[in-house]
Amino acid sequence: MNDRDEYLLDLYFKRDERAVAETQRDYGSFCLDLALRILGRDNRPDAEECVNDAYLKLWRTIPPRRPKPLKAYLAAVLRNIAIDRYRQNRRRAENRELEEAILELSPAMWVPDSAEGELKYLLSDFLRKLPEEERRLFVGRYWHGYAVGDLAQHYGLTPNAVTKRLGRTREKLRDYLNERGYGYETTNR
Amino acid sequence: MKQPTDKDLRLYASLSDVDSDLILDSTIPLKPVSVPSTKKAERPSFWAFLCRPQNASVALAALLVTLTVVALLVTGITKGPQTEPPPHGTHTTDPIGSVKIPTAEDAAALRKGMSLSELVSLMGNDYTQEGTRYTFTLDTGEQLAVDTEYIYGGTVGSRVTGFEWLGSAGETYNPMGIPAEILQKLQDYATDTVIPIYAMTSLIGQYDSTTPPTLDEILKGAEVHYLRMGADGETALLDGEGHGAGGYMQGEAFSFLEDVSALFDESVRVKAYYPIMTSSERGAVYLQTSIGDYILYLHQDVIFVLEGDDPPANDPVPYLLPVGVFHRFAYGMVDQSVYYGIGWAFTEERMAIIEPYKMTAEGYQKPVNIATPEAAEQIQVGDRVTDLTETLGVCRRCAAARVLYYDKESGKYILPTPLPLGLHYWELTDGSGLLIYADAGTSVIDESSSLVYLDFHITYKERVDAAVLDDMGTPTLKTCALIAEGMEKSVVFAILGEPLAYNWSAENSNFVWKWMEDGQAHSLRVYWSGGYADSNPTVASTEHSVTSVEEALEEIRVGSSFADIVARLGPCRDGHEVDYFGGTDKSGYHFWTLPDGRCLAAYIGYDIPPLTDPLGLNAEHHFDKTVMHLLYLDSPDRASTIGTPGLSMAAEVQTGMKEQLVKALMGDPTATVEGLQSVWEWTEGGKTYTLTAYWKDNAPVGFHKNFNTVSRYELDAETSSAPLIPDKIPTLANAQVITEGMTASELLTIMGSRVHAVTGVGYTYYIWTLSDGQAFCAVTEDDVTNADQSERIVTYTYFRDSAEAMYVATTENMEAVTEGMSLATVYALLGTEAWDTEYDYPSSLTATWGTSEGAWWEITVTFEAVEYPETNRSRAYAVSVYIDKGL
Repeated sequence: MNDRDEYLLDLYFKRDERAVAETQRDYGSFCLDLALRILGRDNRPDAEECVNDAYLKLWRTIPPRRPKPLKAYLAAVLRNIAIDRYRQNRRRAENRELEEAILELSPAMWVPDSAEGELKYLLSDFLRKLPEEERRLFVGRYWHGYAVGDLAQHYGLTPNAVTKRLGRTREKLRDYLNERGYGYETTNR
Repeated sequence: MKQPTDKDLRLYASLSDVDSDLILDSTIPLKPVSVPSTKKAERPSFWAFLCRPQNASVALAALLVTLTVVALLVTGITKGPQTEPPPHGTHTTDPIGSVKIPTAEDAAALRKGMSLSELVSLMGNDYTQEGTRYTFTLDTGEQLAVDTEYIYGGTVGSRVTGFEWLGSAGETYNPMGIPAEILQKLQDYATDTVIPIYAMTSLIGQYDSTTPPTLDEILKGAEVHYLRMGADGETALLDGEGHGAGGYMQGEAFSFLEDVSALFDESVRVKAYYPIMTSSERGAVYLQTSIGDYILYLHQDVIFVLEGDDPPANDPVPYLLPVGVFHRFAYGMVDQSVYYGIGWAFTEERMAIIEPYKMTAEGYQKPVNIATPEAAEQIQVGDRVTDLTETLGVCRRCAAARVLYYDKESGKYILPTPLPLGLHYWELTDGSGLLIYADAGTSVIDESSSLVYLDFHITYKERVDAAVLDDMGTPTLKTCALIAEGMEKSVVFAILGEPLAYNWSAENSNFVWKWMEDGQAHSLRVYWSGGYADSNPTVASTEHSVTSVEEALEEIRVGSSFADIVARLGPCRDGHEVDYFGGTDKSGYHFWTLPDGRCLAAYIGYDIPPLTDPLGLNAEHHFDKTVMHLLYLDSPDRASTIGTPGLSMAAEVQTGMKEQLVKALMGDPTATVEGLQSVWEWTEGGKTYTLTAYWKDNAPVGFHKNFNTVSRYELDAETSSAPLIPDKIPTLANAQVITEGMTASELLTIMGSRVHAVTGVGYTYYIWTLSDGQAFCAVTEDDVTNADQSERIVTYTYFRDSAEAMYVATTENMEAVTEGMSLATVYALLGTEAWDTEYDYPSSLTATWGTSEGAWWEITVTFEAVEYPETNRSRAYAVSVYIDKGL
């Protein structure tokens, strides 16, 4: 963890209000971008609110928590808040880009309800086993919600190549879960 | 396209929990979303909607909602007017959608704390706005005014803070003829989520009969409506036959009024009955009865009986009750179970039936005190908290909450058991007192039912003088005497309440409590054995110190917190409580009567960063409310002078004061140009005076918005009101008069008040839509080199139309940025919303913009502040410019 995060965490621990403002300065744009990707670019008010809710959660959970790195914790908190907000909004607002990603991913990581709690361990293990670029593409697409075009631009690939690689990674994930008795083909659905 | 199911979303969300080291290296640099230039025509133009003159009021309101739309306006600086404006763009317009007419049901779902987006989502965007007040007209023709306030920091954004029903003539909406004092009580009560009054005209009105009916009799009436609570927590208003008037009915319905009627003795007559429609989770009814006023408050299937004379300012009940605690856990976990598939449930098994607390003409039936010293001796630290109600009776804290659960089958009233988490205390039959603390242990899973329980244990027990029980939860000499070495922090908090100050450190954390007692100011500092890593440390030692009241008052200054004053002077006269962040739910003046007969008036509100810091680097962004103004009045009677225009109040007005504060001092202005200036006119001592305040939106880039403060003010005697800036649609000819170096006042006088103004620290954008459709933008900068520090135009430009302004940071403009440009000029070229900002704390700002033209250019500009000692101001200049033109 960098010194800056230590500084921010110290502010939270001192209950110093600058903690939130400083977090906004460091990670505000990153957070807003993440929230907008989940909620849709035309839903900035909701995205801003989710970011603020995430800051509030940080304020309330630090201390006693001292998450390292702070950015990852903040991002995970925000992602859940934004997905929850998307869930509430979806009847009246859609985000095709997100929905496309969710529907791509869902069949590959289907597990029974009872096993959903274990997914985070399984997914972490699965991701560690992937080649680095493959993991980055997968996490970029399904964790951060980047568009295929953006990933292609960033990694110097064609969009078609990104799509194919993501498809192969999803197949690997399905096989991984099946091998461990969780996946679609090994449970009574 | 198929919509994701809840299951799909849960699976997607489960990715959030993967190890953090797997996430961060997958981010890609922030860039604008792919908006190819060919899509320009398809992109909906929100701004176009805003810029229509007929939508001026909506536009100003929408500015609040969208916050940053205007920040994306400035592009393509091409100085000088275009004599032949090009044709309008081919953009589509008005993405807001069709106008929604809100219904009374929509209004009933309003709650405080809502964001503007939630508000607009619920009520539609057909509203009028005056300042922070939004007025909606319902389908019934009635009007509802919604007040909002901008919240900073952890809850940045405008939030709903209050409601007021308006009749068509602007009078209080009160079709039931509710007495004014009751109306006020209801509105005071409705501080949390309750809309002041949602009174259906078909509901029972007031009874003036000399022998008012009982509730049973009321319930027999054909027109009776029931407030019902579904098992899922949804409230529905039903007619007499059980048909819903909106809302949902799922699971086993709960007939609220039937159970309310059972609470009352037959001898109790109901004078008036006012249902309070609440948010979707709660229902409430206000009853005026022959034995007093009560608020009966339904939270899930628990009725809370609250004496109407002293309704709680907030909603403490869910925190006090095991039922509430369980519900809260259940809700939280059920919510999370969406993600984790863990089922938690609430059980009613842990309820102890006690003698009914009937309300009779004699008031509450109080149980016989069975808390004997012998019974108290049987209680030991480590015991499971199960049936203390049986052995000791109802604890004082629970009794104070008047918590009852009506058991339909037995027809009795029961108190939940075990006791809630926290402190409980009894006055024993021998006159002494007993304190215990119940804490949660491990969760217990019932294999047969899969229900999860929390196991409560007694972690603290003390026999005390009964006199100390009155002080529980507040710091006093008596309660402080109970604090002993080795006591757990949770117990200390329960006895003393929340501390005034937290001092965390790895090895030597200590918290401070302060209070007034015996004419002196007391301070207790408690040192903890553990560092901040220990979530519940124990007391290592304490320090008690005493100072005089005068010294305590010296510590109250602008910048103090509301909690700070309350801790020193006790509750304010209107009884508002300290909130989680040390502020209070009500911005404005609060009053304290001092021992010497004077009255302290303190304005509590949200603070702003200083204007002297162009980068906002030294700004303290308060997201609690702090003291922004202090006034010592000769006597409490003088409190009414605040809010009335007069010389004494005008003398308090200063440059930099927040608009709301000035209005709190001077009352509603005689005339206002929204966001620009306000005028007060009054007569005093035979003379007519006017005070004119000029507003400036004093908010740093990207953080605060719409925060008006006084940029300058003029106090004139015996003159007519200062002329307000004309309300007109400016023409191209008007704009062509504008030149660099003009002051903001000159600019506004020429162009008029139909302007969208966005202010950063040290600069302001003004944008007008001209009569021919093109947009004109002028950027002013505070003149930090002259004593008058006036705003002067540094650049101005024209847009083909407002849609064009959506596309900022063009490659052409990026290349126009050079070292030495001021922050205002760079932001004028690139837009106020940088994609990323990085503060090299605390000396410089680096901001990065990306293009939205399809070319992946990024420009990074680093600024440094230059101080101007003559004005004690500074201005930021670009010291390095780097453009990454991508691949």
